[in-house]
Amino acid sequence: MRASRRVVVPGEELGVIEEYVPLSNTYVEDGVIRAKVVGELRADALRHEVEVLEARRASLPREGETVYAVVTGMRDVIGYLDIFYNEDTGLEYVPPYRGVIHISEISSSRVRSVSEIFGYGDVVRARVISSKPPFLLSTKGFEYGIVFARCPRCTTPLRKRGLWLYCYACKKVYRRRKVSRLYLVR
Amino acid sequence: MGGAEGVKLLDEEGRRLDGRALNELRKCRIEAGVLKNANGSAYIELGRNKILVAVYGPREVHPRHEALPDRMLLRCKYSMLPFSVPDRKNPAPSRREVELSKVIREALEPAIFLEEYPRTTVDVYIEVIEADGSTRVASITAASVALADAGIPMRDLVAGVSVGKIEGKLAIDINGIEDQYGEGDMPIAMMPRLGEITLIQADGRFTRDEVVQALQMAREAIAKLYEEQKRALKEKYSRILEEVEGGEVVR
Amino acid sequence: MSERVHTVVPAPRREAILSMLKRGERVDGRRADEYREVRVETGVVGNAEGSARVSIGHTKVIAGVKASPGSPFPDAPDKGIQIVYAELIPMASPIFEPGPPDENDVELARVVDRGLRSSSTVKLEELALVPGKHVWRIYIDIYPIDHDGNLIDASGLAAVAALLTSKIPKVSVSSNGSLVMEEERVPLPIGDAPVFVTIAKIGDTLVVDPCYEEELVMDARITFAIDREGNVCAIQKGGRGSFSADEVVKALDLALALAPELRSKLPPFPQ
Repeated sequence: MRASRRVVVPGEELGVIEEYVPLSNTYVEDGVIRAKVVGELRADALRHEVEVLEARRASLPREGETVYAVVTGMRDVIGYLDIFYNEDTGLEYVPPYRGVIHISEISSSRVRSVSEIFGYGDVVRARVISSKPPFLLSTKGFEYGIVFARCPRCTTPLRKRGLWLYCYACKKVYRRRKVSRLYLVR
Repeated sequence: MGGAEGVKLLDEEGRRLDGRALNELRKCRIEAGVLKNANGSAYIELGRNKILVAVYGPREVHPRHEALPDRMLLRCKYSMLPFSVPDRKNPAPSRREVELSKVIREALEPAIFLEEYPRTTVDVYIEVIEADGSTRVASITAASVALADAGIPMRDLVAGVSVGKIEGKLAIDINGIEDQYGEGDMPIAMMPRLGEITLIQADGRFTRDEVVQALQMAREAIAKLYEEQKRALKEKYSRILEEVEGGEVVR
Repeated sequence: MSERVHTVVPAPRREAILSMLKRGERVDGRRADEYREVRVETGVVGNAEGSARVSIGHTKVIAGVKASPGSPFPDAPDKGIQIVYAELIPMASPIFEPGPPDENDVELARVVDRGLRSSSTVKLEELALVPGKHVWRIYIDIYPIDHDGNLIDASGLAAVAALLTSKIPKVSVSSNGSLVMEEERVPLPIGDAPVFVTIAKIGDTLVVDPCYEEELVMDARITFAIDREGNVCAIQKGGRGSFSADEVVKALDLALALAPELRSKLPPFPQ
């Protein structure tokens, strides 16, 4: 716990570069370190570091966060998704952010084309691997991949059977899908 | 324009109709974070002016072709509610509002690190609830607080004030009547810390020396508005800090 | 639209222009305080009450004045009405798109309008025909036809030149109160004539009359409308950058110094 906590606003002077190493949410102008955002000042006198803990972070998804997205388009090696929910921050995105997944980031096993792994409208749980738009996503790992899908023929929600997805209405098995361990319909 | 037309804007002692001195601001109060849905928001009361500003973003650009590859797109919409003025204002955007939206955007842009979030947009929605002169500069003052409240990275805040000319004298922060019957209006906005001018317009007649003097008067008034902006932001976030005492500050 | 064009201009071009400016050179070889060649031609449209074609370098603007009797605004029953309209038509540049006026069109028109109004270029109080019922409506329409930067100064010059040469029909009121237009034409009542001077800031340098290429790389611009006595009657800052107070005053002094030269291009005041 700190004795005195100080809130700073953008442009406020935090120190000089001779004294501190400027870290996150700061900028330097004419040798003076200033705050970029509203937040709490963290100045470490021992390590000579200064940063601002943002009070309100910009709503964009960030690298390492887990998000939910709907598949909206597919090319040979690229899938396009609409990111609509961030599990880490609990934020819903209206309108959604555009996400992109490259074939090499879908699974650790071999993938021939994006369209054999995903279907239009599939809901995917994914990890964000770049913090700037277009957001690059990855579904490598057991917890990531499709969490909800419908049968492309009859739109019945698919169920998970072992590692595969199964349509009870048309009795069809989808074997190649990348299904998350957290698939919703069993 | 032109002439006092029988309306006396200054009394014998040089006081204005509302009792203010020439270099005196109206009472100003700013509140940060007043709306739930917006990513950032602010409310300003400057005299009888009441203005709400909401900031959404950074978010995906719609329509997509407007997205910029190297920086954030700032969009700004200034509008006056139909009941904000004595005679009902047609709700359709007027040419005045179109122009003000543009100059307000250009007044805010210099203060923002636009390159931080390329291919996204930040929308600033300004609604004038009640208008009594100097609404564009009051909007800028509030909008920069709302942007900071949204966590948008900025070099500095932006605050604005209008310098009017009434009965041949320069006056700070003119109200509706002074605007209507005065001889001129020069809205000025600055980044307060840097003194950089991000908006300047004028109508009416000013000599060269009056322009120089107006810039100086504006700077002094803007320093006062800046204090109120800082107070609004610090008060809100200090309150949040106290609520989550000891632990991490809000993520 | 222009937003996107700005991003397409490669950063190296800005660097090149900046380093030239450091050596005191501009892309087209001018001095920082030098206008391109300014030409003003009046009476170019027979059907208009007044008209002008102005060129500043390659930038060309046509302005026309039309006048028609109409009813006054309720808050100014004994004054004429001045309406300035500008349209950035696709003819003038590939960056202008067809469609309703956007903020750039509106800004251009409103800046010119402010300069005219603040200096009472048109004496609106002398344009009432039957106070409270009929007044003159003066329409000033501005059309850039070729865009090579600095549309504001060219448009302002064109609007003022057109107004100075405008002649409107003499009107009499018949016994039953209706208006009778006579054959005879009289000049518009003119009070003053502002000139518009725009200064661009590129890096740390101020240059007057920016050409299109300079506008693409500039940080910001500031326009002053200067009346006959050297008063400022309109200011407009534009662009994404900012000015220091010293720069504003420096720009103003530049504008004051250049205004007489621009003014000399205007036609004489009507008698």
